[in-house]
Amino acid sequence: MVQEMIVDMNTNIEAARLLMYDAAARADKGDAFSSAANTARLMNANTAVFCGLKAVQVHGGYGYTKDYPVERYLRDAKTIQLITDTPQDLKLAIAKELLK
Amino acid sequence: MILDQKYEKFREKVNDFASQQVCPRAPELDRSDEFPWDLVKKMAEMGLLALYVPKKYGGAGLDVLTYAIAVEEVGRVCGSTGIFLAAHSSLGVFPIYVAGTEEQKQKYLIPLARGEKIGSFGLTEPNAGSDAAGTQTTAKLVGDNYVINGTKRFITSGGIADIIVFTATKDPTLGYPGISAFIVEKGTPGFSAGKEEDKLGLRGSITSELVFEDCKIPKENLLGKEGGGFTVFMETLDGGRISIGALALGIAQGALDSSVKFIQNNTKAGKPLKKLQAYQSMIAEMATEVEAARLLVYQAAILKDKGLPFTKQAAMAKYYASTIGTKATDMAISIHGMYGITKEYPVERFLRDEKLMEIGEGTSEIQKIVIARKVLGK
Repeated sequence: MVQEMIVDMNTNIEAARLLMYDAAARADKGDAFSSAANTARLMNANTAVFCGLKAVQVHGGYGYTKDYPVERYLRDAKTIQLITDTPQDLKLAIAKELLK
Repeated sequence: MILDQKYEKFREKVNDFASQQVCPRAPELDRSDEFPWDLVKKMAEMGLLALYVPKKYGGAGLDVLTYAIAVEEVGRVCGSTGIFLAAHSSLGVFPIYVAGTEEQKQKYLIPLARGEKIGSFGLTEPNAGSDAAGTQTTAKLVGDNYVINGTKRFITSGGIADIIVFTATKDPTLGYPGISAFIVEKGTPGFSAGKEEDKLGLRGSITSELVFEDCKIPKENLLGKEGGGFTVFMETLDGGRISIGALALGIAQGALDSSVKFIQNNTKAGKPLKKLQAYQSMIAEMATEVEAARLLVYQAAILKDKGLPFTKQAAMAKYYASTIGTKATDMAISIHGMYGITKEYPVERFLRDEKLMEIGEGTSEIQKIVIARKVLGK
């Protein structure tokens, strides 16, 4: 089941990376990118928190201590997720775009 | 779940204590890593430290459901105080209550139950966490003593405990049949508390290494039968899961309480948060999952009180309550936005505290194995 956690983390990271590159490529081309950027922002931040939580879990008791960096990754991820926009703000913005 | 009036009355009593005396201390316990000796004393006076133990052994003579409610209510405001209560009652007191001789009960159980002594349970080792069969700490019978060598790790209250139940093997190659349970007292030569863990959460709870170096303990400190350590710790962990489930539930309820208050009192772009679907959706999910967790925890407690098999239900309660608890505390921070990651609100502490519930006393991965075994058959 550690394998499952690693696979889930990796899948999310790969998907998040592609969304981020897609938003960047759109911006580079001069295309509209606001929705792509919001989607990448939402996915990347959620992925960071997800992976922070899973990484602590994979490390077990050790992951809960400051002997390993994973608990810090979790704390940092949770902070970054909420800077400027919360996930609920981003969802509203993306939904508005999709439904217009 | 509709509980008998006596449980609700008891809940009110613990809730008053938690709100008035524990809650104001919680942020400071988290920040200063201080152990709440004053709160332990008060909990002892209130009889909270051994609720399900008969009165003749210093307990309150109540039941496991009452105990689960106590852990839930304390956990709702402070994970550190909650984990002390859970570890002392389920891991310190219980093994002696269930496996001790009359003499051991008189000598150890009574002071533990009264809270005159602090209890702890040493099972985990640096290389034997989820795999307790891999226990490396050895116990050799030499004359009238067992000579103990080895190291335990991640032991809740280890550094402050007066009476510690621990496991050791007569031969590490034997696996479970080689393992026995023993009692050691603080101050025994060759026994010491080592490194204290610097943790993500539960920072007001002490988590220590226990080190045995040619530590001699008298033969009569064997707890249960020689080679019966597996039975002692399986029974202990089964019961412990109910209390960790209760603590996970309490912390999740705390996160829900804070989120409800925040949503009721705040607006976004002039609109009350409670009118926004995004917030309604989050609060509905949290409230539903917390309620479901409560039912699972109480069900496991009631089964244990009735003397019925409860292993599966206790594993489910711990697994589910800690899973939804982590989700609820994470969501609570998002609901509070940037406020949520500051110490102005308790929710960031709740997430840090709650994460341990998915790890301690059997990780979620172990709970799933236990549940699957019961569902699928061996």
